[in-house]
Amino acid sequence: MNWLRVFFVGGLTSYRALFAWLNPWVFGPTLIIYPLAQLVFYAYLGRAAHAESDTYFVVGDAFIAAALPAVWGTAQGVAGERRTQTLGMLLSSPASRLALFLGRALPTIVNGFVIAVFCFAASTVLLNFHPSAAALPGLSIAIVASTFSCAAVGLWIGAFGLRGRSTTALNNVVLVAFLLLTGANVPISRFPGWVQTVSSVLPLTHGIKAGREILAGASVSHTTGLLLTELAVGIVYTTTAALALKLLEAESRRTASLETF
Amino acid sequence: MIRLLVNGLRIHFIQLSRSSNDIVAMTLWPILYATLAYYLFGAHSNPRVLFSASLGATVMAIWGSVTTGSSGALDNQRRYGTLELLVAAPVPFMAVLAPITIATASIGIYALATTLLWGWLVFGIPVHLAHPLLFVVALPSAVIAIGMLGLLIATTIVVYRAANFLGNSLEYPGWLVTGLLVPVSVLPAWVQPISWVLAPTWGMRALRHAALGGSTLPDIGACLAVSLIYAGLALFSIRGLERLARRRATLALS
Repeated sequence: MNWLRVFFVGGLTSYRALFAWLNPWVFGPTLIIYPLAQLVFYAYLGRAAHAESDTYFVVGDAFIAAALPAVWGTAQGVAGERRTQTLGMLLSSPASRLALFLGRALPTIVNGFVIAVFCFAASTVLLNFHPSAAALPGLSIAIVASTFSCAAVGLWIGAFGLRGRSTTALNNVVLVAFLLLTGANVPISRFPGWVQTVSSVLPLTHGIKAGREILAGASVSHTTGLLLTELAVGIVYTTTAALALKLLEAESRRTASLETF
Repeated sequence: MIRLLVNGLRIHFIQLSRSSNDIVAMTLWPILYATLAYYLFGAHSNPRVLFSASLGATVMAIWGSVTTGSSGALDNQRRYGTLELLVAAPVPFMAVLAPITIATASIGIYALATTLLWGWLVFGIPVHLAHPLLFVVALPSAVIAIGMLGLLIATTIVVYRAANFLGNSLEYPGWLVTGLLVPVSVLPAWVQPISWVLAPTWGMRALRHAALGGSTLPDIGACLAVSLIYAGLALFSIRGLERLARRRATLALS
């Protein structure tokens, strides 16, 4: 019971306290204007380059929009404790680390899902995007699976926040990788073979592909393989992130760097 | 006054050059934009198109740096505890603020070097300038014009409670409407007049024409003209802000 309390209540409390964009003055520009402008930009770039359809970019960039709070928010939920000088207190508590840190990922997954839904809805007005109602449940499953795996990457970044002073540069590197290598904006088949191998182990890649297939008329059962692969990627990242959190917590204790800021 | 501007620009350029976050942003992001463009336009398409995309990615990085740096310029000084000293200094406040915003644009030189090198090494895009001398004039003209637009941003959106974040959100809209990678002709017709009043449009045209051939001088002239307009508007805005902050005694409040 205590595990669940730490997971749900602790996660929600952390979200309210540390999610840097919860303030409406910040939420609007960062999680409404920015992702939507990004989506429209790439859709028009695709038109200019005669590359792919609007739907291609809408799916890719709506998933990227979902990744934004999942990665940054989860990372901030862990690494932000250093900024607020509460990391030492948090890590001296006897609470389960798994409940403590996984709970911080859950609200950001919900947030990511909401942002993606907003981007899809806005795209029906701004771009040539008209999904069938039958595709929406499957699309929702693909978004949740992808946002989960992105939050797992956020946990990884957060783990580095237990040891290092800033995770901003790392967040940027991950976002660059997502924009370029997951097939969000460029078909993966255009990349060299080794890049395609890297793509296949990144979050979002399989979820975005599943989302596109579902919108093209495929049933959820037809995309089960892709969705399960996306979930498996998320589980692998979550498991290794849990190990990284444990290792880097020990390392930060050993080097007395918990309160370095 | 000139000493103040030059020294201010030098100090802020050095400060930004020593910030790992800024350097990563100025080298990593333009490489991303350029690579995306190369693959979307086709890595084996016309080298002129790809070279133009490299320049577009550079100006995108400059605009990204300016929106982020300028929107937080006043807040940052407040956070450092230097805002009151700067306002009280016996020089026009604009001469203190302008070097900050122009410096955020001028670190775009790193973006230019990185993007051209990346394009040449990885994609074999030849770096051939049609008018090298004009390019040397076009680059600072573009930087100054975009930096002056940054000054206008710094002195207007600061009234928004989270100016930093609002500034960040201007990144993609700016890239879209100024024709850096996406030609303005593919956008709705009402976007075109907006592009005319934004410095990156003219900066990009000047760089593109100097690099690929074309009439560069009118674009450089347009850069200087919009710079003067931004300076006039920023002066007006700064005076209003300064008066308001003094009357309400809110200069030091964060």
